[in-house]
Amino acid sequence: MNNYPFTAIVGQDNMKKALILNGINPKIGGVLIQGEKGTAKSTAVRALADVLTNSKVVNLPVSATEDSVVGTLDMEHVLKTGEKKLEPGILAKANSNILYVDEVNLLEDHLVDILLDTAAMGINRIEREGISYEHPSRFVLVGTMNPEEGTLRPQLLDRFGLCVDVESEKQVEERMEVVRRRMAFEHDQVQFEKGYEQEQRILRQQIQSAQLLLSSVEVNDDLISVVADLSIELGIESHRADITVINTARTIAAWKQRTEVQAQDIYEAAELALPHRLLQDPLQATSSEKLTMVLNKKIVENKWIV
Amino acid sequence: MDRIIGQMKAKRGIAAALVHPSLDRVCIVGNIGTGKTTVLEAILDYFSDEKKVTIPANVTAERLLGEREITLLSKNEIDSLSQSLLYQAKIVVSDQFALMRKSSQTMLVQLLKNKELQVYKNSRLSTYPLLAKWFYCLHQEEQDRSNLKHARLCVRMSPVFELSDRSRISKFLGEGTGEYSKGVIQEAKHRLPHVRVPERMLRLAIEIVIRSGCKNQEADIDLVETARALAALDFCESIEQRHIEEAAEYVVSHRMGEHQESPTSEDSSSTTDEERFTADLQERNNQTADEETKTVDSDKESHARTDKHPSKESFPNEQVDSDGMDEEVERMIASLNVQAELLFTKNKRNPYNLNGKHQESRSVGGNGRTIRIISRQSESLSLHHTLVAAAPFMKVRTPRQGMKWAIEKEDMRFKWKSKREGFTILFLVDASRSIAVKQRMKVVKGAIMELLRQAYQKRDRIGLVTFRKTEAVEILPFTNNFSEAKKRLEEIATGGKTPLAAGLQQALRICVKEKRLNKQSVPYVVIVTDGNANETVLPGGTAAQARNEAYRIARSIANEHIPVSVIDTQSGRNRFGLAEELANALHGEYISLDILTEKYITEVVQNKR
Repeated sequence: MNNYPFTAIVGQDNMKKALILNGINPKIGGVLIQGEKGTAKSTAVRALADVLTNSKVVNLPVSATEDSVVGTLDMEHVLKTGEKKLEPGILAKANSNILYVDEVNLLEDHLVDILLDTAAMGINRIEREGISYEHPSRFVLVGTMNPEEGTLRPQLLDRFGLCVDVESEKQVEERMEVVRRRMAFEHDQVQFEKGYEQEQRILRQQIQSAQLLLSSVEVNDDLISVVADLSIELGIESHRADITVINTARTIAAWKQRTEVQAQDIYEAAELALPHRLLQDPLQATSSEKLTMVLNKKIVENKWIV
Repeated sequence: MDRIIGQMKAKRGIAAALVHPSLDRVCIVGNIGTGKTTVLEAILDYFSDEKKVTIPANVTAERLLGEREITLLSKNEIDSLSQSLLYQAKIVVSDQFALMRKSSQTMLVQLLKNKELQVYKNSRLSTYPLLAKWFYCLHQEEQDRSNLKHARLCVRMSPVFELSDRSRISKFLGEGTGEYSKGVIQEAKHRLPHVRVPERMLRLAIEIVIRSGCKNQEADIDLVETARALAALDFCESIEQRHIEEAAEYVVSHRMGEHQESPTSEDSSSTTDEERFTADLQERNNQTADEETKTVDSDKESHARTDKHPSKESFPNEQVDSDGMDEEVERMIASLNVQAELLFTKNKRNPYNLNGKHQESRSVGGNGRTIRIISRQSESLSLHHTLVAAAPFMKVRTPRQGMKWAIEKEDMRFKWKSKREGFTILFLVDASRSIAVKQRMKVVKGAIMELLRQAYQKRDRIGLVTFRKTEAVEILPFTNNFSEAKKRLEEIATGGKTPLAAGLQQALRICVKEKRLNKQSVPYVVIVTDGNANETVLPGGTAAQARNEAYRIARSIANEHIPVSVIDTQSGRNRFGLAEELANALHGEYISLDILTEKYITEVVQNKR
C-alpha cells in the first residue's frame, strides 16, 4: 500500500509545518498532533517519510509488546549456535529516525515508561535473560491522538517539542477538494502520485537546503531574552520550552532561506512549542487564548512587525 | 410492511459495504431477536475461499496480537496456534462487541484501522497488511454510544418476529438467487470504478455532513463512497441525489450523536437527530440550487441553536453568591484536599484483599496483557522465555532421559500480566432541592473537583451519577478524560425531590457491569448526600417508603461487597444522622464535612511546627 503524497494533503498548514520543521531539525523534539478523527493526522505522518531523504518513519503500534519495543534475545540463534545474539526492537530501528505513535494516549503505561526512559537518555538498555546490552536510540517522537479518548500523562506531554491542534475543515470547497483527491488516489494510485511528483521533489529539495542552512542560522541575544521573558510570563517551568522555541525559530528561519532569526519566527515557534506546556492544570481546558493574548502583548511591547 | 422495508434498508447497506472495498467497518445495530447473528452468518457466506474470523467476546490479547513461541519444535502447528487470529483474515465479525473487554476492543479497532498486523514468523517479527472487512453487532439499548464511532457504516435492524421473515432475511443475503446474491455483488463491484460523482452531488454530500453537526471529516468520503456503491448496485453510471440521501442514513446518522451525549436525552437523542436530519433533507429537496448557498448560513445558525443541550436548567439560587460563600468553598476544598488523600490511599476495606488501590501492576490470570516475564510462578508459563533462560546451560547439562532439552526448575519463566492500573471511582451525587437550597451544591462540586484532581494524578477512572426529581442519571460513564468530567460537573442541574433509591440502584447497576467487564476492577462508590430520601423508584411513594427502598438497595450493594464512602452534606448541629444510617446500611464509611475540617486544621497545625 502506497502512502498518500504529503503535498496532496489539503489545508492543515500548521500540522504540515510542524512535521516539516521536525524533518529538517530533529532537535526540535517531535510533535504531538491532537484532533478529531478524519483530519488526516495519520496520513500526514506516514506521508512525511516520502519527503525526507535521510530518515524514515518507524511505527510503534498500540499493540506493541515490551519485547518488540525494547528488543530481545534471538532465541533461535542461541539454541542453534550457543551464542547470544540480540534481536533489535522498534527502538533500535527508530534510532536517528522518526518514531510514530498513533493514538499515543492509548499506549499502555508500561510502554510509556520505556519511551520516557529512552527519550531522556537517548539510549536503550536491554536487560534480558543473561544479556545486557545498550545501543543509542535518539528519535523524533511524533504522536497523534484524539483528546476525546483520554488524556496524556504530563511527563510524556512535555517530551513533545511541538503541539498542534487540527480541526476538520469548515469550508465546503476545501472539503470537496479533499474528497476529490482521495477518490482519485483510491482510483489509481500510480497516476495520482505522478501528478504530485514535481511538488514532492520541490519540497524534498526545500527541506534539504534548509537542513544545510540550519547550522549557520543565528539568533541574537535580544530575541533569546524575549523568549525567556515569555516563558516567565506564561509561568512555564520547563527550560525545555525555551530551548525548543529557539530551535524551532532557527529552523523556521532556515526553512525561509534566511540565516538570521527574526521576531516573527519566534512568534510562529512559540505558537507551536508552547500551547501544551501551558496546561499546568489538567482540569483547565485549552489555554491557547492566553498564549495568543500574551504573544500579542509582547508584539506591542517590543514593536515587532509580524 | 414497514418491517420488511426496514430490513431492506439494512440489507442494502450491507450490500453496499460488500461492494465497496474501502467501506470496511460496518456496525449492525438492533434489538434482541432482530436477526443480527443471522445476518452475520449470511455475510460470512459471501466469503467462501478467504479466511473468515469470528472474534469471541472473551478474546485475549494474545489471540489478537499473536504470541511469540518457539518454532523449533513443530513448525507448522505452532505457527498457526501462536499467530494472531487476524492473520490473513479477509472478513472479521464480532457478534458481541460490547461484551469484549475495553482493552480488547481498542486493540481490535486499532489493528483494523491501521490495516497492519505484526506477526511472528520464524521467530521474527514482521509486519503484514491486514485488509479485512469488519462487521460488528451492537445492542440497540447499549448505553455506550462510543462503540458506534468505529463504524464507517451503521445499519439498523428493525424487529422481526416471524420465523418465516427471519429465514427470508438470510435467503436475501445468502448464496441463493436472492436480491443480493454473490453474483449481483460481484457485478456491482465491477461497475463501481465507473460510477462517477457529479460536482453537485459532491457538494451536497459535504453540506449534509457539515450541517448534521458531525465533526468527523471522514464522513465526507464515506458518504460519497457509499453513494457510489449504491449507485453501482442500481446500475447507475453516476450517483444521484437519492443515493446520497440513502447513504447518509448509513454513514452520517450514527456519527451525529457523537458529540452531544446529553445526559437527559440518552435514548431519545438518536431519534430526534434523525428526525431533524430527515427534515433537513426534505427541506433541501425543495430548495433550488441557486438558493442553496444563501440558506446554508441561516440554517447553520438554527442548528447551532438546536444543538445546545436542552438541560441547562438550574436553580437561580445556585448562581446567587454571597461573599461568605466563597470563603467557605475555599475552605471546603482545602479540607477536601486532605480528605481526598485519605480516601484515595486507604486500603483497610478491600474485599478482594488487594493491597491499596494503586498497585504497580497485578497478575490477572489468563486475561490481560503480558507485561513482562518473571521467574515467580504465575498462571501461564512462557515456553519461549523458559527455553531462552535454559539455553546458555545446554552445553553443561545433561538432559533427562527421553528429553531433548535439559530444563530445570529455575529456568521456568512465567508471564506477568496486567490490566489497567488505577482505580475505578463512581461518584453518586445528590442534586435534589435539599442540596440546592442550602447552596450546598457549590461546596459539593468543589469537593468533587478536588477528588477529580486527585484521581487524575493517579490515573484513576471516574464516573458520575446524579439523582434528583424522579430519576437517577448517568452523567458521565467511566472515563479518564477529566476536562470532560469537569465540564459535565459544571452543568449539573439541581432541584426536585430526592430519589435516593433510584440513585443507589443506578450505582449498583453500573458497578456490577463494571465488575463483569473488568474482573480485577473493584469499583469504589463515593455517595455525596444528606441521606434524606423522599422519592421512590416509581415516583409517587411516601417518604417512609422511599427510605425503606433506599435501605433495601443499600443492603444489596453491601452484599456485592462494593466499597462505599458516604459524605454527609449536612453539617453542624442540625444534622439528622440520616447519612450516617445510610452508611451503616451500606457497610460503608461515614464522613462528615465537619470532621474533614477538623482534620484539615490538625494538618495545618502540624505543618506549621
